[in-house]
Amino acid sequence: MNFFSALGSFDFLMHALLGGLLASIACGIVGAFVVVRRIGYMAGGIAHTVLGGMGIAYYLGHPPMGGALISALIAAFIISAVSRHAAEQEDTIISALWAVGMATGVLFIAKTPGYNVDLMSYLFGNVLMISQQDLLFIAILDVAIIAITLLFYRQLVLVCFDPEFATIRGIPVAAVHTLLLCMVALTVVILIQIVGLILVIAMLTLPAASARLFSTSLALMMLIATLLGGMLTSIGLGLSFTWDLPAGASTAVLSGIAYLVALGAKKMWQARAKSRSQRKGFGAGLSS
Amino acid sequence: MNSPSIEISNISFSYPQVQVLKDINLTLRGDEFLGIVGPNGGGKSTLLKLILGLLEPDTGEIRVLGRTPEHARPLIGYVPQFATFDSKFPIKVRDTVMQGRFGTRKHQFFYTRTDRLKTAEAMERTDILDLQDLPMTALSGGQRQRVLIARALACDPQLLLLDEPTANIDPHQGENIFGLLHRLHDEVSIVLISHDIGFITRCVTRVACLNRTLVCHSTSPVENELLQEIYGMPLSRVEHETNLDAGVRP
Repeated sequence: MNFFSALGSFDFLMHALLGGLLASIACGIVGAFVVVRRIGYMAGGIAHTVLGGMGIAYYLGHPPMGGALISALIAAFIISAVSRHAAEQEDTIISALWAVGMATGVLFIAKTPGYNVDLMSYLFGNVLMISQQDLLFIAILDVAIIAITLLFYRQLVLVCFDPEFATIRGIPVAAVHTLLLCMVALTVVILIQIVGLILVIAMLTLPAASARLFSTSLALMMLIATLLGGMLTSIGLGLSFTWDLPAGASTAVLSGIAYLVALGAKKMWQARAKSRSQRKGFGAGLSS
Repeated sequence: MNSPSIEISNISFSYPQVQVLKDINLTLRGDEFLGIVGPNGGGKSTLLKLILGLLEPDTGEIRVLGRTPEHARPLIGYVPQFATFDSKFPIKVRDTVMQGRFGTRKHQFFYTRTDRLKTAEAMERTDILDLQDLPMTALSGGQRQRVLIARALACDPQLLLLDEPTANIDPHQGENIFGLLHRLHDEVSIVLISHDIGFITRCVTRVACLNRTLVCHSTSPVENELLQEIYGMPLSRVEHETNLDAGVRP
């Protein structure tokens, strides 16, 4: 049975496809900010801290995704406070959150009585387990991210582009930065269900980094990253179904390949543009 | 326009371990164009940050346009060095200039007609209207600098502060920037910091030399002894007279 006919007959496959597409929206929008603001490491810190929250929620018998959401937001607030007040220790503190958060999760999961959850599905995602309820949860988070972006797009862009100028023009830079990290936290929670927390970084950075090579504005970069992310998760799912591969890992590897291809395409494009302008002669290029 | 734009009295500033500025006094009239020169690490950027209220002086007082620096910010146009930016940031010229409109009113979820008009006006004054749809990545160093000047002008400032506007751009474009500033000087007071002493003396009305302490001079060619004094080593001044665009002061 091929992937497309299977989509029609298996609900779980359809859910996985929709989950990937919905995740791509958050991923494209927030990934663009992560890439231009260069906060991939902070995003990684938030992603790994989340396991602590999931483990505790699981231990207490609550839904792990609730724990994930709360711990992601707490991590976002801690990291933004650290970058404001103790920037020189930012790196150390993010590393500490990263490791301690994860370790806490592992400990709580180990001590949870009864049937033990498959830790691997938190780490590497299990997109085939996504339920209708999960889809709704992802859709709500998407709506929140889109709404924040529509409201504060210009402020977010300026804070990423030139925080000093933003301060001078009266924008509350610290608050905007915290808001941005909270958006990262929401995206992390979505992505954990699709690719797992270890591969979150791949989806947050690679589609956006590929999109940046061909974008003249941040909005365009978000659009391209969203479309690319949607393609990558769908193809990743298709490959995983066809060849019986883990879906999250397939998607992450595909994203890496797509980035390399985009880099190569950009280089070739630039070389062509250069040779074309040289053929035209130097006269045109000199006027300032 | 002749009430003082900047009044600095007896300010000192230290970063942990190092004193950067000592007993600085400066009064800038509204119609002045002040060039501040000095070696790297002499405290030029620190002084600009104090005027903008991004740093607090250890002692002394700063008044900008009769207000505290922080309250004066809506009236200050600031042009940072482009070298510190991410040159691959995807943003168009018009959107960059429009950023200067922040701080001109209370709530700014959307840009208004006035914002668009003022932005177009600022781009016209800096001669970049034909670049407005281009991404910043496609511009030369001199063009980027013009965009940043336009962004600073978009809020209709009464005081323009520039941090090394000719760093990293070729001399021809540097001349153009100074020609532009000379024209703007009719409408706003300007403070410009630069290590490029030759350029600076041509269009400013006053030169101040900053190396921990500030020494002011009226505009006249800087002498070798003075250079030696500021930079702390023997230096020779090279005269490079070239014809500037019409309207630029010799």
